[in-house]
Amino acid sequence: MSEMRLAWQRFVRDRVAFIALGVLGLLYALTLFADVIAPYTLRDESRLHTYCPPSALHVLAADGSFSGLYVRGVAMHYDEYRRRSYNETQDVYPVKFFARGEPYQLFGLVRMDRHLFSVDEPGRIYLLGADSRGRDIFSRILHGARVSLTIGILGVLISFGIGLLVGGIAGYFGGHVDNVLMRLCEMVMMVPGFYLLLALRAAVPDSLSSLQIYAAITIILSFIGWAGLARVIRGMCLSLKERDYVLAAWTMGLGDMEIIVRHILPHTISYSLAAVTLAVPGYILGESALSLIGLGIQDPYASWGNMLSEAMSIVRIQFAPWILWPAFFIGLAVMCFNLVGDAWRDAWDPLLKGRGDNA
Amino acid sequence: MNDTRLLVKGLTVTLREQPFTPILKDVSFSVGRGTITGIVGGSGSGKTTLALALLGLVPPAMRVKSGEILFEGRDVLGMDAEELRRLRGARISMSFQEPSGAFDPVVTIGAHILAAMAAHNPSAGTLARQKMLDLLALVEVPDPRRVAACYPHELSGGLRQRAMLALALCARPALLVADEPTSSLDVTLQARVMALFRKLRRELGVSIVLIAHDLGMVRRLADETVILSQGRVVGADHAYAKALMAAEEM
Ligand SMILES: Nc1ncnc2c1ncn2[C@@H]1O[C@H](COP(=O)(O)OP(=O)(O)OP(=O)(O)O)[C@@H](O)[C@H]1O
Ligand SMILES: [Mg+2]
Repeated sequence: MSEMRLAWQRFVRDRVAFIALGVLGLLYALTLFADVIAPYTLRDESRLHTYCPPSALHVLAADGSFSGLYVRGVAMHYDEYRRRSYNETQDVYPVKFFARGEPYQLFGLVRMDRHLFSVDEPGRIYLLGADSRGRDIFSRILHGARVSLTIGILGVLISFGIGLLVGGIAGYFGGHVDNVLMRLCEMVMMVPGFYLLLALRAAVPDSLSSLQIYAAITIILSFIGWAGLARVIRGMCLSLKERDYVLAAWTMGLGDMEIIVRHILPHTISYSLAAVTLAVPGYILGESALSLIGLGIQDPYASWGNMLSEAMSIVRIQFAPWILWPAFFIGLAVMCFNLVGDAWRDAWDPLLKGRGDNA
Repeated sequence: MNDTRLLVKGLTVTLREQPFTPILKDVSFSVGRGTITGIVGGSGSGKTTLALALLGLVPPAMRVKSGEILFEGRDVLGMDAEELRRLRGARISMSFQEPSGAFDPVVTIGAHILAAMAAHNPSAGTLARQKMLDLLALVEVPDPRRVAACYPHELSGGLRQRAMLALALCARPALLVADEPTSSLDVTLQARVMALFRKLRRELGVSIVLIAHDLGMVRRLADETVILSQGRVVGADHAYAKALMAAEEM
């Protein structure tokens, strides 16, 4: 529709938001190809590289000549206070591109074993350092993005499905239906989100597979999120149902649900899109919080939240500040979603206002 | 009288807020099988309100104070929601005065018609598409395929008006209420829509309630004419009726 295009043009003019959208696109692309890009799989670990700092990348050989990209081996030392430190050894491990490594299934379908880059064992490449079990933080951020970045989208889709439906029904039918549904929304909104999250999580049994936990968290988060949207959609539906084409649909004998889905909800899409984008950060943060306190995604599976649980001690952060990288990515994703959502809403605002006047 | 399709008896509609200023006052008329009944009246005389009431759709701000609307012997005003839903579109349908508002701007013409067809005959399946194109052809839409794929704003007013008629006719109703179907058309198109109405009555046996403000046009087409003035039916000797006829002679 031309309104869409107009809003898009206004959106693009907002450089910052446009860049943020690009960053999000990049993050999701990385997530999609996490298996290929990550040099190590989820189960990989190396106890000899506990809290190994980020690997230095070299291009010059010892004699100063150009030699191609390589990393050196590292050796762990303890000082007299049993503090760990690493020194580079003379071993050279060239960085190989698209070499065979541990097998994985791309998109869960295609069996592959090529990694974008890797080094031969026993060498290790840690672009962003290693965690307590010598696992590559870069790889785990990529794997964890699958949980952290999709849980937001999935959760938002579910809660917006519910929100659209409940709001649509409440606004369209009005009267008692509206009253009951809106009171229900208020009840959900009244409970402080995080405590509701904890309570609901406690209601879910512990002995779940990682996939089940993922699903449970998504559903719990959606359960909290739908009410706010439902209220706004309801307000829009109250005015949308006064349109002539709704009357015309009545004269044609269309069913109520069909009218809601076909002729009312599509007109809330511009608003919903902005609201959806602005809601995603809440889900990302929700998952992170749950996983951080150990109620979410469990080892060995990675999420940005459970990776951060290592960073709960100030001492560890002092010695291995790189374990904070997941926080950086959470912040980045949250910020980008907020920027994009805000800009998209602003891009629509004048259109919505213009439309409101003649409604 | 079993050739009466629609019988309106003493219909009085008032605003909820002001129960003593009727929008329609004691309106009575009947529509026979396969006949065209014209309803003529000035702006604000209650024509659209009457049309909607015939489908049991009194605007929320109004209420029916007294009277009956009998369609095929059944009282429309006493029907429950599901009965009404099955009546609307299928047995009685309405074309709107402003077809530009009556189509959802984000839904194609074809999808409008298909949805209405599916509401009354869910099992039509692939045949529905062909029937939809046939309908558009019936109301003399050139290139039905292209028009079906268009969004409402992509059509001219005349095309929209005919698409509106196609929509109203999609379930082969017994009664078509056409609210000012020609007010947005030029003279040649008006003549064609009039011819179309004759054809519909002849070929489909549809009864038509034709609402207009132009007495001359209604006179040429209608078997019977009801003149509405400020919500009341007035006779040929009423001042407003005389004014209308005088205007026609000019
Ligand atoms: N929703 C409403 N609330 C209050 N009054 C209304 C409403 N709709 C119509 N009216 C009033 O009812 C009267 C009849 O309106 P109606 O639309 O039926 O007239 P009409 O004969 O169709 O006029 P036109 O030829 O301009 O279409 C008018 O005086 C109008 O102001
Ligand atoms: Mg009117």
